[in-house]
Amino acid sequence: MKFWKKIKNNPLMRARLVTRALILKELRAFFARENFLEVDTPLLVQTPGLEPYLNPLEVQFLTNRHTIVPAHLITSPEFALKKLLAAGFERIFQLNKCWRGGEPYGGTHNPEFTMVEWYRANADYHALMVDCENLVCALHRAVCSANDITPDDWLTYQGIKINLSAPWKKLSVKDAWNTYARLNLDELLTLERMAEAVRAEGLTVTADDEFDDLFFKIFLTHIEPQFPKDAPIILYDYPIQLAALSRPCQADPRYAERFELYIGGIEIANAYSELIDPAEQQRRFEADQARRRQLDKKAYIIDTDFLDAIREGLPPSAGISVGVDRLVMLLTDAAEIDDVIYFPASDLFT
Amino acid sequence: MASINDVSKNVIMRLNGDLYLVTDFQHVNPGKGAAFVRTRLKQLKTDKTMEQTFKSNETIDLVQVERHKMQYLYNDGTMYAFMDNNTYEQIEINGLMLEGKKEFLKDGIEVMVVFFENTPITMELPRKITYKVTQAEPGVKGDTAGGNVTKPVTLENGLEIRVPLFIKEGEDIIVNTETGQYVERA
Repeated sequence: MKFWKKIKNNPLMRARLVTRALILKELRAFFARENFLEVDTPLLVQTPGLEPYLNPLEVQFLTNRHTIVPAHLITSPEFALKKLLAAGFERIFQLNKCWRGGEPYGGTHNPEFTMVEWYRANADYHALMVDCENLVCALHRAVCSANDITPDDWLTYQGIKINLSAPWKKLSVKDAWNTYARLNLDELLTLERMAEAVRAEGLTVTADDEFDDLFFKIFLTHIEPQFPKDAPIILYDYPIQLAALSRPCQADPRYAERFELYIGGIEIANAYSELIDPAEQQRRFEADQARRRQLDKKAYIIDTDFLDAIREGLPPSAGISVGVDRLVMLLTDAAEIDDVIYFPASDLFT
Repeated sequence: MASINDVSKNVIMRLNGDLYLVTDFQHVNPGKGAAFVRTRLKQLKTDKTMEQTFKSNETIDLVQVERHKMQYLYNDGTMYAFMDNNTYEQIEINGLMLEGKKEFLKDGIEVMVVFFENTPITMELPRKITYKVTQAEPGVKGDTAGGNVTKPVTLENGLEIRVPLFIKEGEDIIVNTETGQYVERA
């Protein structure tokens, strides 16, 4: 059924989209209260992110000289926002569409999706954990009030009652491996050791599996499915191989200051104490380029303006992105992302 | 050899020398990481269930199975009996191989039975099945949390599901057997 017909025929669908608008409004209100500046940096850029597993969408861009050059839709506004930190802004947020090609249609994915990303200068990822608690509770209460329900900290999602009361459960990745897989992650931090562990669990190891692939085979099989669903859970301090753009932990540089937030079993947010060491940043970009080549993907050029900004000096900062559509799913008890976004890919690209 | 990306429910794969029935699968794309396929497998020899996660570019060894349309007859709590309406041949499947499916069976319904080397392994339900509502409270206020206004009802085969408030006892409704959820009035 075409999307507009679904809205016409299903009052619940319409109600969810009305709640979506309320959530977007309340998001902005939250950041205004927290003294954040809303910024709106470009969605179309020359140099996209280099993350090996993301597929930026390419656009044939007609320049002012009427030549055609490749441009890209952003997978995240993070480079531009960190440049703004270098420019001296201290609290900024951006609410925008992002694009990731090759993603599934439906479930918790859509190739075009809405993200809110925010940064705090002179802060680390602990401040962002508190932001998440405050933000999700504020949005939940606003949705309750709008539906004439007495606001409390209980959210019902797909039949499960979730207790949103802060502080949320925080579990280090190492403790999660210990608790749910009875494995000591400290001893598995090399490719060889991790491959042995994966084989010992009866899982497959292939020649092109990198450390992070092997990590995920155990994590997705034995750990993530066991997370409690009746409360949010913050998983923090990932092995340095999965650091992305986060800085190493001071106490143990084998791990990085990165966290992910799960609510109701859904991955909602990804956050870093930002890497502000330009040499290490360049090294990671080059490693990502190499991995992309290995995966037969375009190794995009490095955004040198971004490296220049970091060299110029970034204050210690923390940054996070939250999948807004997934938040709307949770807060409207929708099983599918397609129930909370306008004209999902499954409707547009048949 | 086949790609794990093309896996579906009720196929049988050979893994480390043993045969497994795929009872469920899910594409998982972690925000930072490759694409994976998480599967739920049942070892044919032992009926034991296990989870296994593959990277989406891995190849798997699928074995050939046959499917026959058969009619559901009855169960004795352990074994579920089905009959081929052309040959009148009857077969039984252990309920352990019908997890998440057996509760949707109703008298006389036609299903596809999956055979491997002439042995019935499991069956596939029609995606949508119509049931009569045998028990429904008329004036229930419903569970209004999250805007989903539903109430529980019991269906002709004993299955309990949640339906919109307007559904009454004696009505026929359609249920999606993949999600276990109410679809619409029949």
